[in-house]
Amino acid sequence: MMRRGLICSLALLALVVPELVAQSSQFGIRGLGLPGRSSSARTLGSGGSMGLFDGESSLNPAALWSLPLATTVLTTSQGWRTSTNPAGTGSARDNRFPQFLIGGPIPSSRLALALSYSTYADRDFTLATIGTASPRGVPIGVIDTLSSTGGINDLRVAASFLVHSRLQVGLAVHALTGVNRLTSRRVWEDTTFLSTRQSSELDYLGYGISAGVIYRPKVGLELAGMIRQDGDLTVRQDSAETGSVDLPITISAAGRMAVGSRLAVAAQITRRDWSVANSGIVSQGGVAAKNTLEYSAGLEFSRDPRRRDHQPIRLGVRYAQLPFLVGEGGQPREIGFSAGTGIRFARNQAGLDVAVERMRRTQGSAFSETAWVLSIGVSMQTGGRTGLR
Amino acid sequence: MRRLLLLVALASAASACTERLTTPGTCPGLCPGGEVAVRDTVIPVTIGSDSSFDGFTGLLEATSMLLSTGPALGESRGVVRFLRRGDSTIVNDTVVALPAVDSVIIQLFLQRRDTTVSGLELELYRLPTDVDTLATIAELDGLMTPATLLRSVTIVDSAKVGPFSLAFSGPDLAGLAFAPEDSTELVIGLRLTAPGSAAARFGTGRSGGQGPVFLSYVTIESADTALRNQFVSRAPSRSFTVRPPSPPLGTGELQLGGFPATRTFLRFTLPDNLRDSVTILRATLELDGIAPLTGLPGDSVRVDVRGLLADFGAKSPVIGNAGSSAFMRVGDTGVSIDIASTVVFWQGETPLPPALRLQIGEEWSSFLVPRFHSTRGAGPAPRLRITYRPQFPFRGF
Repeated sequence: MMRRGLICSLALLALVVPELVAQSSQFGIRGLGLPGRSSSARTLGSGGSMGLFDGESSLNPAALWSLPLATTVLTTSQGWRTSTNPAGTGSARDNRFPQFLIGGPIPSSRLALALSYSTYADRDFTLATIGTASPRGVPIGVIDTLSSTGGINDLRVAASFLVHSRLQVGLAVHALTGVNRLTSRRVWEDTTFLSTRQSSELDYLGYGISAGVIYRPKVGLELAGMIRQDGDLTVRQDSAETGSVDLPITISAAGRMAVGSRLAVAAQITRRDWSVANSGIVSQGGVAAKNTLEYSAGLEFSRDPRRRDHQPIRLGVRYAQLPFLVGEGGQPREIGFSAGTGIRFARNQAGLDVAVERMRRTQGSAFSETAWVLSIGVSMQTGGRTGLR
Repeated sequence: MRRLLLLVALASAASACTERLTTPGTCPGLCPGGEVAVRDTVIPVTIGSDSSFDGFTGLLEATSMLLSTGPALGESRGVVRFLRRGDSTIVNDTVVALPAVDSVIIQLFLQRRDTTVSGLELELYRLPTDVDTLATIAELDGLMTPATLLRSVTIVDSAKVGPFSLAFSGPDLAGLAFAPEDSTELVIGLRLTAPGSAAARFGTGRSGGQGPVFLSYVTIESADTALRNQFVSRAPSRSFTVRPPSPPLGTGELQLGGFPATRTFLRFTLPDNLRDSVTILRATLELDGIAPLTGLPGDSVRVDVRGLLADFGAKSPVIGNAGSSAFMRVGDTGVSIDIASTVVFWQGETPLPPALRLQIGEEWSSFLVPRFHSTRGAGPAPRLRITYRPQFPFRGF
């Protein structure tokens, strides 16, 4: 009991840290940033392949019905990353809270509701450049840093309805909002030149809607689908509207199959037509935005079929194209391998899930990045079971 | 499994607070918004708005007495009026009459001299107490006669800076008496002589520890033998330079310092874009001199620049402690002073007037009198070279 408490305390300590500025990868510098995953730690452990079936993720509103009780989920991630670009190689680490959800079934009904927050696009970065400038004809060493904190958040209100025992449907509305606080600094080697700091704020506002379905054609097999339409994202700089960016339609499908009583395998494919954002991105200085495809596959092995979420082994692989080019050339992409597990305690009303991902992102030969990402999700459930389960 | 989770939780707790964000970048390739742009512009002083004025400070505020002879730097004399010395003193809480003076030391502090000239002699004269700051060189020279000469001392070539102590005793003390009929005051005059042109600076009473001191040594009988040797010191109440006025300013000239001490005001017209939308990196005030600066070899003068809080003309108040300065040395024909810390006050929603007041650091105390071209003459007028950074184009994706 003590040990369990210690684990929980440490986990909570890890979560209750001051909100720090965080940095996504260098592939989040251009465009709207690095797209978020909207996934819980348990989904990330299987490569994201089970996200459409996971009520703790914010992907498929129909999956909310899988939450057995009123549930609160908080996910945090810590990344260690090494980036290489034409300027050199650098290591960075970051911490952020990409996913929060509170929701669950309405007692004595076929309805489940949830409110969630997740990262839609992460644009935290700091770029340092060392060079020379000759403001009065004499070369002087300078250090420039360009940094951005913030990103676009996805606030979602979702409902799931159990049509019958084999079919769940869901609907959600999304509000996309966020701020990029951009700062440019220059420090001169010659201190007779004053160091400078200029800053600006980009803020965003947009809306979207998503619908999803989960269908069980037979025992042990589940199919899921999701479609999401996001509208225009209004961009304002320092409170003045500067343009808008069309956001993509997301179409995703997945299948999960039980192999025996302990093993489940799943695969998922997702397509986003980010090219609709290209004109808006390019007109505001971006390089380009391209459509993306994302594939993932994974498995979950349960040591105890009666407590499937207690100490499972999750493995997954994921390949995804990234929408925003950091430079001219091919489209950036990432591939990741993940593993995860979790425990349930307090009569299965609390859980701790952990996922570790090894990721590699590249665009051509000029830009590459490897990263370890540790994700921890804490979930707590309250209330009694509904009469319909 | 629990151990694993424990380790993971510990690792997460240890790492959650650590962030290192910086990644090397190549701009403009990778940086949204492009490169940091830096531009340079020269803003001339507004035509007709540059003027020199005197009357801000008085002669008694000098920190140096200027002594000179010969045509190179003109003629200058020094006058020191010591504080009154009473006729009694206190010994062991008892007032006793001041007995006869055993000896006297007059201490002067040499701040700088012309080291290229040998044979410098410093002459001390007893002057009447009615000599004041209105005295002229001719009047003083009329009073500095062999009859009033107290001491003539050679300033050896190795003496460059430091105190000079002149001891008087015996019959020499007669000339140093604090005359009761003259309100017990003592005034001495200082004159420098040399085979040719020469000059030196001595400290005044306002120069801190470098002012003249008059020490009277007396013997007072006392039961406490530790108190037998007494001295009574007097600092100067006034010490000043008597020097002809600087040559009048010509058309198209600006002056700093001199006799009387002069200050200069400059006004600029700042373009709108520099007022509100750029970051000033460096602002250099550039002044071109009329002629190479003359003075004691190796001497320098500090030029102070301050912004104005409000522009009321010559009586404009300046910004408190914010300012810039640069040194001019003998032979310099111009000066450049970085004043970005002042120019930034000319920006923003409530800018201060784009105007400057220039003065030398120690007025009335330097042979160096910088003179610059103004907008009223044919020479290059004062100007402000501003290096600035336009607003970074943040909007780029």
